Amino acid sequence: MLEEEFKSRLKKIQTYLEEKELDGLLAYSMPWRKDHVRYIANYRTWGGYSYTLLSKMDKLTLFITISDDVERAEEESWADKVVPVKEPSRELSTEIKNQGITRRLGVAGLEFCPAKTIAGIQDQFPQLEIISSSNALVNIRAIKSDYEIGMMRKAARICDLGFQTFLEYAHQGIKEYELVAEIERRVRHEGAEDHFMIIASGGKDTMCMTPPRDKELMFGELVLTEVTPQYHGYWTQICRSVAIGNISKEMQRSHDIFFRATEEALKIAKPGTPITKLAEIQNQVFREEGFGEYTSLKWTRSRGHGQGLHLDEPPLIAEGNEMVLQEGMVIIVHPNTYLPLAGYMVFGDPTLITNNGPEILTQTERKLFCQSY
Amino acid sequence: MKNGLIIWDHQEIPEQEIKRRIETMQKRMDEGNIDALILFGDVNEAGALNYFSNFAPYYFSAALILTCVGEGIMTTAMAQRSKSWIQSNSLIQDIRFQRDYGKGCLEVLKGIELKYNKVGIVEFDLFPYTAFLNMKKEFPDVAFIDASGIVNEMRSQRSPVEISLIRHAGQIACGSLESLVRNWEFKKECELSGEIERQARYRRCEDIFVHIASHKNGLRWLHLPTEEELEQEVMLEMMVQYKNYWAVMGRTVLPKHARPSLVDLKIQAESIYSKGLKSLKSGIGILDIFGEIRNDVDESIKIISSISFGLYVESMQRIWINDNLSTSDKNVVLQENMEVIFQLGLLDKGSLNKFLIQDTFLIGKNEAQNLTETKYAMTY
Repeated sequence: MLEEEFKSRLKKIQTYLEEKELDGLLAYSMPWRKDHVRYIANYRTWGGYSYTLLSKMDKLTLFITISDDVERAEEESWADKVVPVKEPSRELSTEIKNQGITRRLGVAGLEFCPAKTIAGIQDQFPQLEIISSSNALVNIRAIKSDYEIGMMRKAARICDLGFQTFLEYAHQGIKEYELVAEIERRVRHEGAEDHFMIIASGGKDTMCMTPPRDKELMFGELVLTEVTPQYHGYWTQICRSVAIGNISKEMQRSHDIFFRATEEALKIAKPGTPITKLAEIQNQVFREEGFGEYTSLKWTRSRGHGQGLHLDEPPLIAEGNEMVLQEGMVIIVHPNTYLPLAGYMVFGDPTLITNNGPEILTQTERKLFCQSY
Repeated sequence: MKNGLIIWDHQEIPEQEIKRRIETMQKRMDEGNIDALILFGDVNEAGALNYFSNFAPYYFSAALILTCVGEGIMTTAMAQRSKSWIQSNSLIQDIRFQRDYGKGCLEVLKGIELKYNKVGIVEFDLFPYTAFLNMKKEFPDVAFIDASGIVNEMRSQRSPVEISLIRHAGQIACGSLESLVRNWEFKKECELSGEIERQARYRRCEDIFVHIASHKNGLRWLHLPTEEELEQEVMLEMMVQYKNYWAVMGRTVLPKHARPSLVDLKIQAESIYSKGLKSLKSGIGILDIFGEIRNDVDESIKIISSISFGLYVESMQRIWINDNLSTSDKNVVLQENMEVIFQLGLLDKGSLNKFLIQDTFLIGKNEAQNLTETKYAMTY
């Protein structure tokens, strides 16, 4: 399965190289953005930094800065060769030369790749044209294979279990960081290799989510979270809000708006739909309810995003995004924003785009939850 | 990931401590004719940024621009709505919100009078290419220099406040492990790592990494936890972050009635580790420490030992005991107030028994202070 998966990815990248008349593709990853190298080489960057170099010769070289990880890299990755590096620009330049890359080199992750590395390569090869291939690789990655969808289904199951634990422990008196500790235990226990989570609790003055504070949850408040586990490289996210004690009229009204916005977007979430439409239709619901102002960047970031080997990857669901939904994409539609009714609120699920319509990967009930006493 | 409690306790980290760092840096900038210093940080590495601001990003990147006067300006891709949260955790109150931090840096630089046309970049090894290119284009006459050395030199001498934070991180690691051993009922590696996460986060850690190895992994050393079954004995490495400072410890957890051959290895490891510790002091070179460890070890036993030092756990330099040390590694000499992580692992190539002891130390004149002090062998 994994070998087929690798060959299929390689083929897609080679097609891209042909189309863009590139001699090779350099991909960069660091512990915070492990996605590019993980996709190409199936290597989980563990501290330090990693690069892959692929040329038309079809030889994949993996460069890692953690020298004591070579054995694991050789065992787990798809690379033909693993090279420990101290001065990346030096070792990369040698391999660029060996692989006959002389005219054009695409770099995936160029925008966060260290200046020192790229400048060093450019010094060695002044004639070499270096272009960004970040968007191209992200676009290739956006369409998930059966293998990837399988991993994301498992990650979605961990989302459900993580949120179940959230509900179990979200009671009056627990501190935000203690609640997060319980979720961490649960998602790791279920096999998550990493986990991203932000949280907020309070009333109408809650403007956004942050890492946990030492604030206790109080009766009458709303507590909201994004639980985002990573399973075998793949991230999925669930967003839910929970009322502590009882659901006020304002909370329910606010949630009804979020629910309707999401439903409207899901109705049109099928291959061929422009991403901008997914955002416009959600924003329209807020406008109809008299809260159009709260769809702007001042109050919110987006109406959702893609998921995969990075937890927040294109397509960003925002008005003006000209990308089009395709079969095999996994997105989360979440109209998360501040509303003066009950403060910041969140709601959303990981969703697979299929020819038969959207398939929500999580099973958690889609409602405003209440922890009653 | 950085999902733990982030809070600024002003008694624990006095504002004055950060102001003192900024002022010292500003003097050095003035002496070196540096107009401004750009300190870049992301989720992965934000040590220098944190040192002068008490802030480290948990999601979007940020950069602090320091000039020779004032407390600096921070630019970040985080949402403006998080301003009050950032301000409550940072000395820096002038925060500019810009989705593209490269543009953010540019805009701040445009507002600065560049007397010497010299701007220092800290963590130049990591500074993103696109942002760098844009700055070079916008300021063709400005020399952008790697200023990491000046900052690293300052940071390598730990202050009492910093030592106390590292010690606290060590206490979280030790307390979490001791608590686990009291209720050891784990079937899978991921169950164990999940409980460690819980224990450490309840103790207010910001972040934690766990690495595991056991007998069944053959010759393989520590790895990231998997869904595999746990064995009776397990080696654990824990990297714990508290208020942005890391402590690293490693221990081997054994059942009360462990195999006699493993118990023998444990005794040997404890004895070698204790000998190694005696040489951990100011003025001693790496080769001397490794020499001390290598004595008296049977040929069938593989020694997996390292000395690590650095300012931040992700960027720490790890020197492994082997015959091919580079000249620069051979020349490393321990200095007073340096923080080092000393690992000793023994691997019996025949029985595949393994034993790990690892701690974080503060180097002193005559001895090293253990900042992660707990029993060498944990039994359940």
